[in-house]
Amino acid sequence: MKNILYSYCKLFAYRLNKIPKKYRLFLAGIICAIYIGLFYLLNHFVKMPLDMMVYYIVLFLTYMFFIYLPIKIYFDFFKQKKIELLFLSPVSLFSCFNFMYWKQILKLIFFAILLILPLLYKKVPLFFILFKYIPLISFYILFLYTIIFSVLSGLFLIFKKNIYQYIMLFIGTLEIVGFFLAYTIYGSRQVMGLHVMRNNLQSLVSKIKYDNHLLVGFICIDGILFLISWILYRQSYYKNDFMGSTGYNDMLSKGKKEPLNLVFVYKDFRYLIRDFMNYKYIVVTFLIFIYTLVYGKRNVNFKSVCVYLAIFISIFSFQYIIENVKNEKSKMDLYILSNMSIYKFFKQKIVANELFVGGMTFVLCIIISLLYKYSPYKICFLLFLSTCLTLVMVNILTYTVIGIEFVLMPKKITFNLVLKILKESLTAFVSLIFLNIGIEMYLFIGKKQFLWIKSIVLFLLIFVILKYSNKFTAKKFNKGFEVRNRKAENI
Amino acid sequence: MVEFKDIVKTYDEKFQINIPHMVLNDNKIYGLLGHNGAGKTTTIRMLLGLLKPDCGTILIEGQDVFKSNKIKKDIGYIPDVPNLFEKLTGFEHLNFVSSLYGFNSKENIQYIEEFMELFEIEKDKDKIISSYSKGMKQKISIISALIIRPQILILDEPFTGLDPIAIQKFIGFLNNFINQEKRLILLSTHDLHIVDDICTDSLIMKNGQIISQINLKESKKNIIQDIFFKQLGNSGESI
Repeated sequence: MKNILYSYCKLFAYRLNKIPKKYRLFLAGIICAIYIGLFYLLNHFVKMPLDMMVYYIVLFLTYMFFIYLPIKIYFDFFKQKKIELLFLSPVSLFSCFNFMYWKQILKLIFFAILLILPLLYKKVPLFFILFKYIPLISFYILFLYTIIFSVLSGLFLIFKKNIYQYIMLFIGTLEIVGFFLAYTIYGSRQVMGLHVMRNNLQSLVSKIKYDNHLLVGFICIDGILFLISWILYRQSYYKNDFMGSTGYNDMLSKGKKEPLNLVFVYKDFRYLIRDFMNYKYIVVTFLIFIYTLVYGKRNVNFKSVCVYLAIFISIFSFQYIIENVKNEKSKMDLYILSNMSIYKFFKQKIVANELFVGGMTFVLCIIISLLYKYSPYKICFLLFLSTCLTLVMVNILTYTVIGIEFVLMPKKITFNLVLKILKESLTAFVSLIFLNIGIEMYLFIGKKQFLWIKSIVLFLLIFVILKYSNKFTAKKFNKGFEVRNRKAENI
Repeated sequence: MVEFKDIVKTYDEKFQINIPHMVLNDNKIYGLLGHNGAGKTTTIRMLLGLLKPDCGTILIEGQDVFKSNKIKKDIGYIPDVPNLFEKLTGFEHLNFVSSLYGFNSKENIQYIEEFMELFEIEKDKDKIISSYSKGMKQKISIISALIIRPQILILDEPFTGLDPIAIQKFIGFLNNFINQEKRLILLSTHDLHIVDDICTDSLIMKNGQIISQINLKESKKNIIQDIFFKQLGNSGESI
């Protein structure tokens, strides 16, 4: 453990020394500027009560522990084989595990502190309230540490081989259970065996009543966290996909080119399992939305439900389309060989995405309608709204993502890296904007009449523009694609 | 010296690695041969302590590899697929690995740089590993195993992705390495010519078992090819 710690410190010092002094000053300046900006924004625009703020922070931390930690540990240990690298040196397996685990915890705490820090300005009592909850957070850490360690060790001992899939399933389940557990605890609902956590929070929870703010706040935190964990997950996961190839290889091995059907690719149950793993977060998001809906039904009015649906479509489309298109990237050469035009590829991807996102939204709409016992007029309106929004979101996102992944990304390696960072930031940023718009609409919808009509008109307008620009954009992409292919041929 | 005692490792109740007794002596280069899926990599991973056998012990210099962490200090391993910290630069990775093994002096940095020069990657030492080519990654993997000054070198397909000059240099290094006191090399490869050229002994694996151990220095040239195809039941002349 000492050896690893020393090596990491040495590495950190080496990296720091490598950065020229002026850049270090520049970086420090940027960080200070960001923080000053955040101080200003938070203290002038955030009017949330202090206890509510604490509530969200604790919720955030809990959620991060539940989601980020298992994923990170899984990837560092088993997928990227980092543990193997360390374990080959003269240190024990337990030391390796210990080090990796606490490294993640420290990272997480550091991240949380970075987020909390701007809130402390003028709100010093917040610090004391947070301090009060340190035992609680420590309890979570130990609780998770014990669970993850014992379950992973148990699985390792029992299965020895093929452990990856079990771990994937375990982590997936843990995340789902973790979320509901956190939700239940903070929803002041009694959970057997967790009275320690509940008692710690009792005083705080008693001040908070379950209302619409909670619902929206929860969806926001949910969205942000899912995005963060998803980005982390995706970046690590697709480096080496151990689940194997897709049905396209089967087609090629048969020696004849069948028309590619991008909507239904599940020829084998294994592919379905693989895609469940890939789209795990999407499934969880869907479940969370239904869960939230069921518990929030008495407090939410129709307009808020519309906004709620919009938030769902935004998050869901983001998660699904980016994941879906990313999956196709590795098979791009196959598409080129099959003489499939990029336009056709776009078309099929868009239809597939529209069907999937639209289908899930439709299910949610039906559940909402049944739960709230809406009139046929309201149901039709809800379906109309969700369809419009789905079409708009799917079109915009599919074109953007395909454009970045297939046309812009392969240009230059250095440029590629910058684009990759930009793309990730953009994904997070745009989804945050969507969430913010959602909150704003949600908070003011009761006051401003006919806002929803304006929104629909806007959606329709974008939809029409998109549909007409389809061919034009596809042609542009096709051209970029041909240039890339020609360059590749020349090389 | 490495000693395998009653090693059994079962996979899926169908495939079993079974090494009742085997001794690998110092100052020798052992070529581990066998068809794909014969159990070469699994045997190597057990020797490294990365995979526990169902029963039996592996002793390195009289110490059980699964009980003693200190013995790992003497083993250098080059995996079949380079396992590196992709986010670090080549130099950072090597420096980090050598620190893990307790080499922290300034001379050690010079030692790393010498190796990087030998394998002609000193120009790319400050580039991130993920931007390296396959061959460059393999070179970093080789250097990682060498800078820890091992007594035992375990090489699993080490020549994959290397250019002919690098292969030549590496073979030269291995020949020098084995002439020093108490050194041992276990080389798993499919290249029979390399085994014939540099190995002193060969071990042929089939279905998880060592089916033959031959002293190549006392045998005639190119004998390994005849033995290999004969033992694994394929003349190699068809197709």
